[in-house]
Amino acid sequence: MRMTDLIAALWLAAGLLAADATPLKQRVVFTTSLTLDHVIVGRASCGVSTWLLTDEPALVELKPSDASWLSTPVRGFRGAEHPWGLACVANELWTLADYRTLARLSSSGDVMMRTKLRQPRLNVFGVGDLLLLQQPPTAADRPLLEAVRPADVNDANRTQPWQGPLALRTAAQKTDVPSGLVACGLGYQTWLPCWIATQTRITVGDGVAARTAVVQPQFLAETALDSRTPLWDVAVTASSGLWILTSAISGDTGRHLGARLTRSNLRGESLGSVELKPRGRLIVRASDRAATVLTAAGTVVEVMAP
Amino acid sequence: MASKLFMRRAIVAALVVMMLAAGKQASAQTPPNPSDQCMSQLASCYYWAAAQAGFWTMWAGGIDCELQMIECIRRAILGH
Repeated sequence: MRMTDLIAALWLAAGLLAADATPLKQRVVFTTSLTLDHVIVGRASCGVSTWLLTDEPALVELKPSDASWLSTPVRGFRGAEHPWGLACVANELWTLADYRTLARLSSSGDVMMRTKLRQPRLNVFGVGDLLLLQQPPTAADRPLLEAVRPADVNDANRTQPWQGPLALRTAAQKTDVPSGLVACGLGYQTWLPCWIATQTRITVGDGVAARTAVVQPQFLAETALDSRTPLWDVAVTASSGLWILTSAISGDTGRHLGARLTRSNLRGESLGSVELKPRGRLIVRASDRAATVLTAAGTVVEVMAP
Repeated sequence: MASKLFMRRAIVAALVVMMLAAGKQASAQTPPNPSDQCMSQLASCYYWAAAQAGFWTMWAGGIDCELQMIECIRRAILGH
């Protein structure tokens, strides 16, 4: 057995340990002026920073450890471009400027480079030194994500299917586009949690089937959530723990938000949870004992296990 | 050629009416669904595309409509 396989096996085994549910505490760490006026279209974790891309467009750097944040306008997108997704690979930020254009952004908010893609892609995520690009769900049971290094995006021989969510049979139909959309949460090293937007099944792995766990959260039945997008965000931690943000039923604004944050394991058991008030937009950072969440009110809240 | 174009537009218009009717029925029973709203926009966009002159303009307009629909659903479903 290779060392990486052994580490993977131990990491997965740790996540299967028995649950012990305890209440979670929360506190406000700092406040931003980020409002719901703009949609966050991408998030990437890069060292001590978490980057957000909004549809303003603006690049926001959050540093929870310093309780600091900085928003910078993005310059260089063209008129018809609607950027989507954000990935940090080897300390470089990448987004999809449109369905067929991968763009590299500088930390100061400039579009530095564009690469035309041979095939349209719906989203981009980053893990380890790889970009994960989402392909449309053209065939049932086919992996929806493909992994490639940034320099090889148009080299089919260097593109590998990522063993995460598989295309649903219904997703190829025009009437069920949401079931063809993949979301990925915050990863740890080469481990990334991903799920289909309308489903509750989370795959957690490094892209290799033998090292991929499928998590079905057991506590969802007891939680009031928006059945159309039940999972709002997920983060995986060093000890193969999970933080799962479940969605709120849409309010007057019609915006989906995270209602309840649950600490879980790879068996999908609840180890404790808390209802977020104000509601959560996304998870900014996560460790085994704490998760940091950006809320709809612009506050950055830390939720801690006792 | 002209009759084919007319027939194509008539079919698209009929589909638009059926889709809008389906959307109204659904909205009467449940809270507004972002996907339904995006589908309504798609129907309106198809209607506009069907009114364009020339096959290729209609074709390009139809593709733009589909991309706009995916953009709309992606924002509604995945946008934070």
